[in-house]
Amino acid sequence: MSVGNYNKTVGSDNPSMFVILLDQSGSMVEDFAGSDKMTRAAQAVNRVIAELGRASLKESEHSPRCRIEVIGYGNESAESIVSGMITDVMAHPTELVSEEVVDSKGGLTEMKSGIWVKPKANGGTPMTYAYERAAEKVSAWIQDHPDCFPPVVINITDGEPNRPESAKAAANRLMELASSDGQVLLMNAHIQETPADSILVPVSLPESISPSAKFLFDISSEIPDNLLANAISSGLPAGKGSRAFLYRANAEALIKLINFGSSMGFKR
Amino acid sequence: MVLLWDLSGKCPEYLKGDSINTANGIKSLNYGIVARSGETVCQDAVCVNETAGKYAVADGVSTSFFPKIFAEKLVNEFCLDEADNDCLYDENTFQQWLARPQGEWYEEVSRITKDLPDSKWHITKSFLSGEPAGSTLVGLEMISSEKPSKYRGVIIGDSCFFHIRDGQIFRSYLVKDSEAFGNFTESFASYANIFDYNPSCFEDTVELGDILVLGTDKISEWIFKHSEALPGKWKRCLRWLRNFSQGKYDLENFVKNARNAVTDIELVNDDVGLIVMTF
Repeated sequence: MSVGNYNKTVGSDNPSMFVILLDQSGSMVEDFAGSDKMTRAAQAVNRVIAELGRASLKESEHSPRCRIEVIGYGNESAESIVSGMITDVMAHPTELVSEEVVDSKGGLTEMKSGIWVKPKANGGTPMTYAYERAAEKVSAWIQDHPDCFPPVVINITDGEPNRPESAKAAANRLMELASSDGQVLLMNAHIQETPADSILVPVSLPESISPSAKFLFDISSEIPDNLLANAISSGLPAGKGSRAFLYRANAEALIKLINFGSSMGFKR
Repeated sequence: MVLLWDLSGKCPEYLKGDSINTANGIKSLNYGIVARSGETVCQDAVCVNETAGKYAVADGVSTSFFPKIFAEKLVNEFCLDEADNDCLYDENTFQQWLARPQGEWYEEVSRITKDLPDSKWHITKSFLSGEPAGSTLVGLEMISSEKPSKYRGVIIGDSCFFHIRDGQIFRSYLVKDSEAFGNFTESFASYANIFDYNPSCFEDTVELGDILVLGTDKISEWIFKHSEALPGKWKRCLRWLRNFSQGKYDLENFVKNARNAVTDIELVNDDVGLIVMTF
């Protein structure tokens, strides 16, 4: 149950926070969506940042409408990869890459894109550290921005945490943090190359589901009623009581969740 | 025609109209836009063409691509003297009406995004990727040839039209109460056929004493909240609307006070676009 109004709109006078937790454990080298999980996950995170950048444009300048934190976890640690207000993050990508794309008139043209996160995979899945690190960042943010739209945390993972019980406790502590507008919204996207079995924003899970799916479901926020329209417009089959959770999601479903997550609090 | 957005090529934080006796049976008319506190640019646009009896407000979707320019193009197009708005009222032909404002938006954004430095890669990327602007629209046309005065209008999204008669909300489009406002709205897009939303139409006649209001979402929500509150609060809101239409109140100061809940129903901090006319 997500407690709150979730009525505030994100703006430079009342910015909000978006935290992305990126699984960088060894299993992220596995195949996924024509590439591998670590590459697709990094692309998804870069897409979140670009989406938030686009949503923060005021004419041709960025407006400080949100703060972004990207925390990578793997190899027994959780480390900050990106940290800053959207204005700074957009001004300083790690790299600008060029690609040829079909433009809006159907011709081929060269286009530059910012990259902030690169693929990486190593070691175990220290999800506990990731949630704890996120809670530190969110707690400090809420202290300075008590009336903000509640921070949104998106976790992209392919597996089970090293220590499920402590990870669950850390996630619950994170979800209990709240601004005056509501509790933190925690979204979990489990990615796997088996789209036929995917479960998207479920209200409940089948009895036979694996413990790892149950774990992620339990620590995923219920989508607030007044944000269901955002979820649906992002292409997710959301209804009353849906959890912000994907299980065995393919790349397309992951993008939908990301589009939804990065739209929260913004007026659209 | 008064184009509130077309002064010096830039929309200042606050603009207001003049309260004047006007045509079409309108006794008083006032209009204005005010930017969200903390923002320097107002994404709402208002246009009034008293001679033609055309009035429009639009709310550029703030997360879309150059929404202010598109909102301005829409209200401008609707209020042009020579505008033939008939096709806007038909779900099969409204895309034809949109073609000119869409083309003008494209031309202007093309100029802005041409030869940008690498540091503006995201602007270039959004433009080349075909990112659209989105905007709501409420347009109202008075049909002065008929007595009693008749009006027709078109609307898309959560900007609202109110027809107030005998001290009550007699009609409202499309939204019906304050609970219906959220962070997501339908809108027109700056490229053809990419949003699957159709505008809705309305028409009626006005009587002596009626008030018509065109407003963007947050000021409309504020009006609804007053109508749903105790009668005393609604009466105060009505008095404010009448006085505003007569130029007795300043929209900018009013909005600032209402945002700080000096009035006891808080106006959510957002851009405001408003036209009020009394008969």
